[in-house]
Amino acid sequence: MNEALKRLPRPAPWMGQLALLLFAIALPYMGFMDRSRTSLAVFAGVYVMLGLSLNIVVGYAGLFQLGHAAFFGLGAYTAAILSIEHNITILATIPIAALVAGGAAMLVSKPILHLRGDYLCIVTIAFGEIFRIAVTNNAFGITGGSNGLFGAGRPELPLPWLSPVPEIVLVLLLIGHLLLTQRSGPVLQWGGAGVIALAYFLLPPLAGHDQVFVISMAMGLLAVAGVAFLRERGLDWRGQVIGLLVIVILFAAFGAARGDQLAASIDGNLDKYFNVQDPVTVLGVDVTPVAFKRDARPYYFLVLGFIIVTIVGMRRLQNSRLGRAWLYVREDQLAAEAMGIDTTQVKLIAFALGSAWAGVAGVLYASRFTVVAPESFNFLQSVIMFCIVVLGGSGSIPGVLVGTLGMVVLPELLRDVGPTFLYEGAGPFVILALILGGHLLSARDRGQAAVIETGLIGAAFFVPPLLLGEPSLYVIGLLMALAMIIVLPLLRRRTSNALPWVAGALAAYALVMIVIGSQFGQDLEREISAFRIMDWRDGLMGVAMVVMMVLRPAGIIPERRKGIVMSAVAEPSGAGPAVAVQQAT
Amino acid sequence: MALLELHNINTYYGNIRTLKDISLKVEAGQVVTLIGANGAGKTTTLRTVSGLLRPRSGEILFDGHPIHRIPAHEIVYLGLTQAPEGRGIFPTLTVQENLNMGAYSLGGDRGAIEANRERVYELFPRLAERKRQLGGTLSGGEQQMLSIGRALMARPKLLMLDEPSLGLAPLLVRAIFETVQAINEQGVTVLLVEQNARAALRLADYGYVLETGAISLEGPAQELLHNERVRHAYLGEV
Amino acid sequence: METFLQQLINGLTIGGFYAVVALGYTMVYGVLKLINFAHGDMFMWGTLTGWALLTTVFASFTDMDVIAILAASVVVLAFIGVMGMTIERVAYRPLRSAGRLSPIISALGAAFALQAVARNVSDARWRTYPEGLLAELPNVQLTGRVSLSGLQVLMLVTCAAVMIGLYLFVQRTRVGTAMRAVSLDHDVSRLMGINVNRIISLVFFIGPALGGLAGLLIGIYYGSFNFTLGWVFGLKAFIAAILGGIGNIPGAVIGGFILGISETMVVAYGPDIGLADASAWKDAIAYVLLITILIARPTGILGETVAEKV
Repeated sequence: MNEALKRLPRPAPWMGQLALLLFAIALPYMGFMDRSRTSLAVFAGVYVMLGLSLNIVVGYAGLFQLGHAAFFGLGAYTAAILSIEHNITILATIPIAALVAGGAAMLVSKPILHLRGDYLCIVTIAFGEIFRIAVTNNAFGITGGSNGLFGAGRPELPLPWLSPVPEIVLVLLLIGHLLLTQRSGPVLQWGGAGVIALAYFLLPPLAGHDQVFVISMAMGLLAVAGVAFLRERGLDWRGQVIGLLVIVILFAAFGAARGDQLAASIDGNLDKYFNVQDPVTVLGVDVTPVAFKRDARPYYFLVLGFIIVTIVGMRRLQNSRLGRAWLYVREDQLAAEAMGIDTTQVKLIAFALGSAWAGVAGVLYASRFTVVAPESFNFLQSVIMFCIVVLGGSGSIPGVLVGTLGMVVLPELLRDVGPTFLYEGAGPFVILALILGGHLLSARDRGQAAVIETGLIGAAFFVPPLLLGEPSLYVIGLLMALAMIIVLPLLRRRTSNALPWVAGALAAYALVMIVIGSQFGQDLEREISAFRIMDWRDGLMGVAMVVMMVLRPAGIIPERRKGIVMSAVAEPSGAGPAVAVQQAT
Repeated sequence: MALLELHNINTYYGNIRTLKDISLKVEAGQVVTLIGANGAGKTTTLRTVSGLLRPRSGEILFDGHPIHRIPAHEIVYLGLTQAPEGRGIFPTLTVQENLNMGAYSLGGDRGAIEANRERVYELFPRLAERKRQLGGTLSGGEQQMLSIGRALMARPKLLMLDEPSLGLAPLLVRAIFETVQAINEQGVTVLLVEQNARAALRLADYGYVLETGAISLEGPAQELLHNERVRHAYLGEV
Repeated sequence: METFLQQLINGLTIGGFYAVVALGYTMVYGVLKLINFAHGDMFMWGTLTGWALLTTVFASFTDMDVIAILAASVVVLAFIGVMGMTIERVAYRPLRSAGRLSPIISALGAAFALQAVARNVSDARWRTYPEGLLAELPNVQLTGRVSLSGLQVLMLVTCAAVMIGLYLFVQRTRVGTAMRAVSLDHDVSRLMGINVNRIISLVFFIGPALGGLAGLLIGIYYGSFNFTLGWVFGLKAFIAAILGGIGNIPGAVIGGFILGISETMVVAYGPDIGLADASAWKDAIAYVLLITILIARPTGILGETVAEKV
């Protein structure tokens, strides 16, 4: 069967990525995404950015950084202070925040980068804590003390269809197109540029609404990206031209046919999600800004855009000269030095870049949540970021996404879950099926005995609650099943035939439960319904961290790039590097 | 029955097979040497015997007991000790403390430890002079003496030495080999791993040649010394 | 001058606690090269267990509080020691060959779990020890206005006894020497016949047990605590261990005293030198001290340069 599976054509990686992207775009429109969940998605998005930025430091360069929250905080505080005190549009503070965070990282890390791993770890904790203490104590009188700063501005954008925005966007698109098609011949390069420009400006009047410029922009972007994609898949310039024309014609047809509806829906969304402010003219040009409303959806797309840009950037960085230098430094600092890499410089860049990007995430955070307070940047947050990177798989970009799901999204979703699911409805059956299925799978080579064991456990699970009508006893049953499948392998090591023992133990369990079950079940039910999972959230998270690491020490999705050749060559010779040194002498 | 027997040992580092069907015997009272080039698997063999590495298949019998599933620290109690590659001195422990660690398996038997220490000091008077000095401050030759002396502290039946001549001046090498002979004459069986094939074969009763993880040649040491291939490849003669 | 002496005594007392907790960090770091982030929370568990015992089981002994405290100490030592061994077995041993990132996460996870249980056991409230424990101990009058309370004397003596005892154990006994050997080289230690796992378990018994004892004493000294005590105190104790040079027992002691005294002094004299709200910044002192010392001496005051194991 496995052979047949292997022969099936495997989907190309880009298809998975495209599916993921489409899912991310569709996510906020899905039925279960209410306002608070969209908000959670934005929050998670900020943490994805933080994870990606920390991944530079921890994953790529192999440095310990347990104070990342400080640089996140620096960005957020910079944005909040500039926006509150100086009325600067918050998105315009991004470069400043990045500079502040990155500069601060450079300043503090310079003297400590030579420290050994664990010392570096504790020093970064120290920096993080000093930052927290400083902002809590209202250092320089600008951080608002332990209450933090309120009322950071919401993002403002110019209305996208008012001149000069469409023109600027078009120029950028054309530059991109011309640069990307340099080697594809003049027909595609200049002809394609002409087609894009023409369609770009013809579409809105054709549809009769200026708002349709938004569609023009989407068309331009898709055309440039589509042509690049086709070229990468090996099509010649004719194919690329056809692809370009298809995209343009499709959009033109769509815009012409649905122009009124599009304009109406854009206006509708504008009212719903954005606040159109009074007309503003700069040097005689109308740049009426729209500000985000409280609703989280526009933020979602803002953050999604940043994440996409970040991921694309990270990929390029990974495979760049600098990325390879980081890999060398991470795998073997001495060898890297011997190869002429300035390790201190390279580490410093990793620190500065990662921190600057955390500062950008800080701006996004401040603009969405408008309150910037010390507890959002404490050690726990640093740990969460660190876990996102390491649990997901240090150095791996998909790992960051999975890590964020586990460390940020899951704990928040737990808030809605009452522990009564442990005995109500299908809950216990699903969990039992998982436990027993896992057992069957791991013991499949023992055939019949495994099936009988599974059947016995299942019977013991069902008998007491059904007989007594106490569903809460399922909880005890689940614990019993879990204990059994842990004990069984140990038992099997001692006796050749474990079945009588299993049957005896299960019968005893069922008997005890039936005797004491009715009173016990009621008490248990009271206990469980009084249980507040939020009290235990951190503890569960901690246990999950230990279990995950023990099961998958390299993370859930480990990075595939392996450290050069050293491990493959040095190991077999006996005792690693020592041998190599002796050989040399 | 030989004191130590390896039957078809296969050891892996990850997925790389470093020992390929190694079988060898060490008869009680003999000096047996294992020679070979760097990376041939000599150290891996010793690490497998002493339990630091687990063979994936095969059997190791020491004094009749199978030891390939026994943890390294318990093997010592059976009378098998090792002076490891690179000497393995504890640098911040004194010479005397290093020796005491060698006798860890004797438990709290102070009398026996004291007696063993005296024997080691007799064998290596230099160590007695430096017994309060830290292990890391000794010279290379002294460290090698300490390493061998420490391995003797547990009163082993079989002593395994991993390249005792490594990095030492020729004069010292000779002294070390003489001591090994003296130790053997006191009744301790020795398994000697060496790159210095000539010296090792002169001292040994029996020899094995290890090449890329497999035994390519074996025989009485005198024969190996005169074997064409050995002379060519390991003794530097044309 | 007299206030200075008084502050010095207060600083020494706090420093003693830091030192005892730092010992646990430094021993574990020695044998495993691991920052045991759960150690601070085990220290807090010592306070919590002590409180639970003294307010329930041993509450009837309050008129013989010395006996109650002695009994509680024994239970705390055993309980926290076993807790430490269990954590090593469950969370650290499976990761011994798994690189350097995974054990950090695992240690943090263990710390979170311990803290969450403590939070629920104590209902997330501040808890107070029975009043007037050891109140009848006589004060020691040094000069006119400088005095040590009986409690302080007891704390200092206990801390000193623990430190000296541990030092002698590690330096003089066979098992202590084996601990030092294990911290230098696991493989060679195994070739000596040392059961490395057992030695590590022992370290994970002694370190947390002493930390737990310090926790009990600090509960008595301060009178009240909550479940977050372990984190901050533990981190500072770890910093103390690093200041002195980690893996080094006298270093941990020196680091502990330096930290305790600096904190007390800055809080006491901060206002005189222009730091008006010095006490608000008290927690930052440890971190600033850490950074300055590490920049000057990257391996701590008594630390030696050791090549990093990869």
